[in-house]
Amino acid sequence: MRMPRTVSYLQLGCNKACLFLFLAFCLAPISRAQEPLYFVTYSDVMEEPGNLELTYKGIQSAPNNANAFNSATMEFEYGLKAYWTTEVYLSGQSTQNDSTIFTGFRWENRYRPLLQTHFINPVLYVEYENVNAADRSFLEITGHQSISDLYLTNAQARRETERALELKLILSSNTHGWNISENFITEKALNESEAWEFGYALAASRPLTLSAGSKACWLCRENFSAGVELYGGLGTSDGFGWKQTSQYLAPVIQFNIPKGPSIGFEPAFGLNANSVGVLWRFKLTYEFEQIFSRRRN
Amino acid sequence: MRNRVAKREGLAFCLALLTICVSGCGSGKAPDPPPEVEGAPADQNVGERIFVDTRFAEYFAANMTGVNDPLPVGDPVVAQVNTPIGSLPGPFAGESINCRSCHFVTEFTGVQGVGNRTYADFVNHSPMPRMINGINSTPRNAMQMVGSLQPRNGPTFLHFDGEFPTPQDLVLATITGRNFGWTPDQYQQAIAHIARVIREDNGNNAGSNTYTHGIPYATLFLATDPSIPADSKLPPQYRMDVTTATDAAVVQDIANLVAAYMAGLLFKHDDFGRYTASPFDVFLRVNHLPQQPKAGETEQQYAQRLLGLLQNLSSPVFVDATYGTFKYHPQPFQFAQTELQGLIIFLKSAQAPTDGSQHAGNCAACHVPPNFTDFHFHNTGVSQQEYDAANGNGAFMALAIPGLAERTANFDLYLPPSANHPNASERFRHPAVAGSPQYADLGLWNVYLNGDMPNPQANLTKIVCANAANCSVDQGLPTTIAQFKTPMLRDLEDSAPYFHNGSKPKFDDVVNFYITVSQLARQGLLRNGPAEFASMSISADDLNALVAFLKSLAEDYDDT
Repeated sequence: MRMPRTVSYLQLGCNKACLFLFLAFCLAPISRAQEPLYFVTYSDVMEEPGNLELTYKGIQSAPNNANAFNSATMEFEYGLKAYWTTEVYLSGQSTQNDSTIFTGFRWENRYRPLLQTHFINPVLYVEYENVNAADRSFLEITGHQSISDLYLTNAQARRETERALELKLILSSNTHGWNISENFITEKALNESEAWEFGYALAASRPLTLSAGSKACWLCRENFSAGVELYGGLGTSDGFGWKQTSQYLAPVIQFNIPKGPSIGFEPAFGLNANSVGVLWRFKLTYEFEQIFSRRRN
Repeated sequence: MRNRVAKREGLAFCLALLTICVSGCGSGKAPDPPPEVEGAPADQNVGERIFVDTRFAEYFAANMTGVNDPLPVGDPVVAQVNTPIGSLPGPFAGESINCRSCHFVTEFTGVQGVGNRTYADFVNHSPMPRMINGINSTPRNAMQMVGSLQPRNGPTFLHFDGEFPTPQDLVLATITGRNFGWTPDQYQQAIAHIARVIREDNGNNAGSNTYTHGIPYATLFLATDPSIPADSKLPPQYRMDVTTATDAAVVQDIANLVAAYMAGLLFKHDDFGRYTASPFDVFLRVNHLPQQPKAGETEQQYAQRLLGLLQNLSSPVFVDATYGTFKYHPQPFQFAQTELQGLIIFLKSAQAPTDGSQHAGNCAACHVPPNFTDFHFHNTGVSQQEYDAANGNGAFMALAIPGLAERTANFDLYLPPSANHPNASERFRHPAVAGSPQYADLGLWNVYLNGDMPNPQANLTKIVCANAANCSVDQGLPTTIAQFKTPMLRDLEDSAPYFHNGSKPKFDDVVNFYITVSQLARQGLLRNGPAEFASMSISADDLNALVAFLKSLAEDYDDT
């Protein structure tokens, strides 16, 4: 039997890492945050060419009938072109009474075919992922993902690695300060003969105020955005629909520290018995402008 | 200019995306993974062929005209098989005994009243090829083999009395022992004969054609012939040149292959080891109940957690025919209110019971989910009931059982025969016989601290002294009296009759037995009664629910 002492130690290490990242972001000399509000849903916002954005996304949850876990994902997003953003994810998790493990990586590319703003702005998304079944990042919900998946021990789950291609159609609109985004997701395992999996993510958000005050300030309304996400699975090509899928409704709030990082928080509430009760999501985002060109200069 | 570059890069991106989609997923099916062997791996296929080979028995050695020739007259012991509907023609009639003769699986598929087996036969004591030391049937029921090597925490013990710590030990002892017609002093003869069959086999027999494409053993074991299909090409650890290997090495390789085959005999489960096929498993799944212990949790803790969840399950989703059907079982595929009630009784422990009114079977104390066994030993009172039925009530309580020193000093008088003691009486590994009060089956007592069975002792010592209240007396030997290994309850219908002596043909009989014997234990009338009975409180009111639950553990096991 593994001892809880290990977990405390691991959690302490995780907290220290978060603190270090936070301090590093705060102390960085030239930077600004520009991260879309959502945790799961993608909008039409692309990374500016030459900019590198780092994001730490954490999840804490204590699902019914399973050990509590902390999940951590580091994202490295780089603007290759105005219409092309590429991003790498590294994910891991620590489960109570179990272990801390690296669960895999993802590499995504987003391409915006229409650079000019329209009422609906489409973005094409393609991602290759190599993650094992112990992954707890919840970056997308597809197919028949279930809370039962969390009952597995890390030792059991990490044996099953899925290499998959994920495609998304991202539609996003901006009107009267509101952003409304819809993602249609499909995923196909490349190393197993499994059915296509489907999912969706919908979101809407708005800054708390659209007009900035005359004085610079921290805790002003213009530095906050709020919104809501709705995401979940839509079954597979063998059984399309809501049956035996996970669904989440998640209010989200983000604080954009002036000339500093962005901090986001989202409690994602499971809407059915197949879902985790609550996923407490947290993220910290920081953007480095023209990182490579500055180095060259 | 900038727009042109942008368009070109965009086009390249789209082309790359299209290429990935078309080449990888366009057909709707993922690209083929690296070639894998269809079905069972080669070691298990060869192991199964050995398992069904009928030429390793003493009868074959004594009556053959050649290794590859059919017997002039088959061994009568396999001519017929006793089943619940009477005697049926044996699947190996005209041949001699093999492992499968006592561990059937699909030989009787579709036969009304018989059906599939989980590698067990139908009788309470399996027939032996010939009388040896006055015995012509096995002392115990053929234990089901499916799940016997299920991965577990803790040591492996095989046979009801834990005689064998590894499947290799079991296979070696069986094919060179009396179940195959060999007497204790014929061990070397048996080894030589078995090795000869392997060397001289020409592959021209039914088992070879079914499992290994008609390839002779010698070719399979050498594994250098490029024409051997992947499903029969043995991995390096099994390969040998049988023409130069010693007889003992050849037979050891056989044991290793059959052990590999046995390890593959598991109830249906998913990639993560979660059982999937019984109505009980489906019930847990559709209600999002845990199917296994979580990390850091023992199976006993899991069982109690599951009980708590079940007792608080406000609106359970019950399992009916919409979730599946049985192909090989007559009952409907269901887990409804009665099954749930039975499960709760099964898991619940009674609090200081004075009678059977608490609806608490405490069954999971030994039959702990999800395997429904703890793989350990317990005295359920079966031997006492059998002995008392033959010799009168209270006779087992009064039976004189020697201590360790006396037993060791008088090996032949008390213990089972072995190569060192071929004429041992086996009086305490024997079914009780009316009028012969010297016979009783004391189970683990025969094995524990038995100098002629050294292999399981290290692990047994840990188990016995972990469970025993007092290990200071003869190192715990008295606590092993009448203890037998806990059988798995999954798909139990396909291994009836039940208990080590096959004395109970139906689930009702089993539950009624526990109602009776737990009452005896409460009254202090059960010799070496288990502590677990102190928390058992069931009555006839619980019979239907418990039986319904046991039936919900059935699955369509058919060896695929």
